[in-house]
Amino acid sequence: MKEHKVRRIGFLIAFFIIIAAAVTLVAAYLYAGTAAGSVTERSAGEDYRRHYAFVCRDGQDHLYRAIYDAAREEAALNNDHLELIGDNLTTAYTKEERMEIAVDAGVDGIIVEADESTQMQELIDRADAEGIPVITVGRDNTASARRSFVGFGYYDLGQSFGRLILRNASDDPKDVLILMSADSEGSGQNIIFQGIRETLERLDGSQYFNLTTMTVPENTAFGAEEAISSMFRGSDGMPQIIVCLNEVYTTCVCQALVDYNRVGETIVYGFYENDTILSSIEKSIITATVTVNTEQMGRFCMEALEEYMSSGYVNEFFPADIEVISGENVGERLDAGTEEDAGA
Amino acid sequence: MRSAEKKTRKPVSVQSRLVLLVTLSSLAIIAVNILLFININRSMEGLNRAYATNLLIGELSGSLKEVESSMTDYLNTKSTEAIERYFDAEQEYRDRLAALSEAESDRESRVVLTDIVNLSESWLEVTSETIRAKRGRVVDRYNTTYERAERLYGYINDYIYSFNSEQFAYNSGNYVILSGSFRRLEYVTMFVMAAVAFVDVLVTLILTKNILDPVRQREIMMETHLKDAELKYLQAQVNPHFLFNTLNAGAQLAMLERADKTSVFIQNMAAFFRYKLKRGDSETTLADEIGLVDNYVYILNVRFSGEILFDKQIDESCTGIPVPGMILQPIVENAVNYGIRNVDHEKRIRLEVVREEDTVRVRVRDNGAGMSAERIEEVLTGNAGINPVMKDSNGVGLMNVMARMRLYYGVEDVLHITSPGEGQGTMVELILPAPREEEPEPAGDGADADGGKEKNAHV
Repeated sequence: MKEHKVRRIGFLIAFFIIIAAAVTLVAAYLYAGTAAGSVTERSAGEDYRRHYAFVCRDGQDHLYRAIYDAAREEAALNNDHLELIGDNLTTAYTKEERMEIAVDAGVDGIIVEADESTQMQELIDRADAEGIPVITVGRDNTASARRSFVGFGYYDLGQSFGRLILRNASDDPKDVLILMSADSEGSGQNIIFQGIRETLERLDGSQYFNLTTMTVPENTAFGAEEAISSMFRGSDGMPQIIVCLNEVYTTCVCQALVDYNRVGETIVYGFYENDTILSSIEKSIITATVTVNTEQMGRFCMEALEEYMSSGYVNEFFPADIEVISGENVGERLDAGTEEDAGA
Repeated sequence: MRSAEKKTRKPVSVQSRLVLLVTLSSLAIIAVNILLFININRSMEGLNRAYATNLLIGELSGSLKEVESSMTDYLNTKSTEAIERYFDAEQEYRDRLAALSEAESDRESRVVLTDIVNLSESWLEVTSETIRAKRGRVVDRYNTTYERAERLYGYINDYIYSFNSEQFAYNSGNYVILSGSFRRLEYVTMFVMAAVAFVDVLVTLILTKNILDPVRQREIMMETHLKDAELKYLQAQVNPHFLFNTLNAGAQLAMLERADKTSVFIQNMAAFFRYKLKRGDSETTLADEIGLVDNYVYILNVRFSGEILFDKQIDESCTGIPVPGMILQPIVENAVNYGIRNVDHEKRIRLEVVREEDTVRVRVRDNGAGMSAERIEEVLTGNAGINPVMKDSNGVGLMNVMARMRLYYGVEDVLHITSPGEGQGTMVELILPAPREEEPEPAGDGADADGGKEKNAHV
């Protein structure tokens, strides 16, 4: 009888221990799985091989952002890190200041949206003197010690615009207005204009078009948008064709056409692509846009740096492809964009 | 023998079991909490490491300002104190830079830290150059380098500020997660406590049920009630030993003086008080109980001039059965006090002991005041409001008798009260289980052992 009792007590205690242990383990597992486990600790990431800098005037500019993103992906393939200088800083530094930061931070190489200014030339020369190779992208500084230039041919760009304009040739001569930036130095606008004019002449189309240019003032913030809006509001007759030489002007014109109910009155050729521009082409608000292959430019930048680092020599110029997006192929672009968004 | 038994019981004592149980449950709860706190500490350590970089950066920022201000001070005053401050600050800044270079961080943070370190080294070079130019009094030179140093100082400050802001935003995110995690921890802990407490109670219930089994519980309650009865009995009788001895002396004196009636009376009195003394434990026989009633009625008859007519009809085969002590006399006492005391007609009390199937019925009938059905119900349910210790009562009430009988026999149906109505007498019936036929029946002390024959007696 007593033995039976002892066994029963032993069984009860064992039952208690098992239940308590089970509850303990389940609770610990639940807590570790849901609560403590979700606190993300920054682990020591793997080391990178080289640290490169990307310097541009505005890190939020679609064109240069796209080039940076493509270059960064390319750099990651070689376990290199490409830093967009000034991107996370609270002060909005100028391009030159960013360039100075990159040089003083002692990076392994710099990709810079240059210009033909002396200050930029000095900075590039200083970097080169300190053993930092510099690749210019989009805009060049031909006088500097930069190792290579990755860009698109401004003349080629002009030719593309010229061929697009020529499609509208008729006996009745048409006014063509080319919106140019006030900051013409180094932006290749003159070469583009030359490309347009010479293309029209070469293809016997110059008599059908009256080319004029308008400089969009950018001396105040948001000045471009104000200037373009006032052009649409004005009582003067609108030109039959408008050519925009940068992304901001193109976007502003797209919006102004809708706001002032001028869709269909004017043929617009834009530059570069963003959601607004692509959507405007799809809805036939504007006719076409000439864009450059930013993915190719980003890749060329890193290839140029890599080539120079490994051999000490590199091609002086890497030309990127120029594409025309019109109503015929805008669908593919929009689909590609949607897939990218879904993938992200 | 008894000590040996105690020794074998000791390992499974109630105290040991409860201590074991409480210890186990406490250990379980402590184990749960330790596990949970280990997890929290791990999370907190992660955050602390992140904040450690912030701390280093903060210290670096302090040194940075000190280098800059001492350099500016030196350029302004060219004082020895300023140059000493500059060198101290520069050394301190370099030390902090070295510490920061070694700080563990993810890739993005490390890029920023590398920028800060490299920019700082460039800046220190420029400040040193500025100081050298100042010492050499090359004014143009140090003006130019000072401007550059100030620009670099601005960049570094901006980097530090941005890095701290980014880290703060990141850590704030983790703080929100941790805060939620602590909330969940509360729920988990409460769940564990509740679960362990539930099992704890369950096991305790099973264990204590094992310890206090019903038989033992019944024994304990029997003892309690008996003690209660004994206490009241003793309170009523003051000192039975003294009384008994004194009464014996009185009986002998009466005999010597040839006062026979007095002698018998005193002997009955002595027998009445002896009853309690003779009985060493709580159990007695029905015969003894009947003998006590005889003594009691004799005493009352002397007191009330023989006006109580008491007769008995006893099945002698039943008198040997064991019964709890002091169950019959209180019934007779009640019959006298509440039944016949105040009636004008002839006062009769009849005691019957009969066997009916497997029970023995002990009935006390009186021809007194009688009881209404409501009154009977009140008495049986204990709501009668009668003072259990009456002025001249032994003080052992009906409820006490019923309670002891129920505990002793383990059945509820032990006592009936019947009355045709007020003024028509009352019958109280005790129901005792009959002894089995094959069992030998011990003869009672105070009853005639005529075996099976009914006997009528009149006192």
